[in-house]
Amino acid sequence: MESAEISSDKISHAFLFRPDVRFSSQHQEEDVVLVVRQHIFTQLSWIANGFIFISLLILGNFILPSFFSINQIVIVNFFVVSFVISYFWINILLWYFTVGVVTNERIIDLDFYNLIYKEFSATTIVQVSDLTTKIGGFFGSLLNFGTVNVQTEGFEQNIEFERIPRPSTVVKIINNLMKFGGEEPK
Amino acid sequence: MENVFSLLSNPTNGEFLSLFLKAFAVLFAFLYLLLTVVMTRQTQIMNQTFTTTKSSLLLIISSFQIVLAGILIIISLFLI
Repeated sequence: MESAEISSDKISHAFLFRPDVRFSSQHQEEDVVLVVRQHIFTQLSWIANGFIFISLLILGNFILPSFFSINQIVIVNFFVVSFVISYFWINILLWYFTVGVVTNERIIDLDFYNLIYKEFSATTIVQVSDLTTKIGGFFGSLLNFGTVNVQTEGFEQNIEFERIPRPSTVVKIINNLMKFGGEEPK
Repeated sequence: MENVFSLLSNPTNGEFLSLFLKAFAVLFAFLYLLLTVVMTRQTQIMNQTFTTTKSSLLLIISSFQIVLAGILIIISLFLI
């Protein structure tokens, strides 16, 4: 597959081909070929939650004046807005840093489950034995996102890129890297 | 302290509510400060683990929330 055929998703930043990124255990000769994040559609649940909080606050502003003074209502609003900002920000960070990275040497799965727990799994391209793509559900088919499962030989760990955009393209890129021993065809 | 005792011995609804609100506001403001400090520290760690062109922007936004938490503490201590 020609590199020119693959374009990054510049708006959602969920599919980045040859991005300008580095990761902690990157080797000197190692080039990042692909970075994938969960499809932006899969993040709608926390975005909706945030807007529900804001709506409840707006609704509460009609009820609160019978209990609190104006000064107190302003402070309650300030508090709720701060917490909603943090709620949004934590989720943005978790989405932004939970990435799948494909380099010319390795496949890396970096997962942040919450602010204080992370998981780093990696395997070399030569160890990959099987690649599986799963695209399921109405929205998965419509918006072209799904899960890529990277299986390695023996009891080595398996890597999963969950709900990523363009899973078939990801598999093609990894297949090409496997075929050409980590070197991309020009 | 004397005011607190007199409030508890001779309370009115408004004063109780105000005291209650202030206590919770101060408590939550300090907890929020703790959260934002952890968040900023974690953003630094995340940036070290995975560095992108937007790393510094992410850190600035996280740090801004510490300032926000500081403002909340001041507000809850002096404006309620």
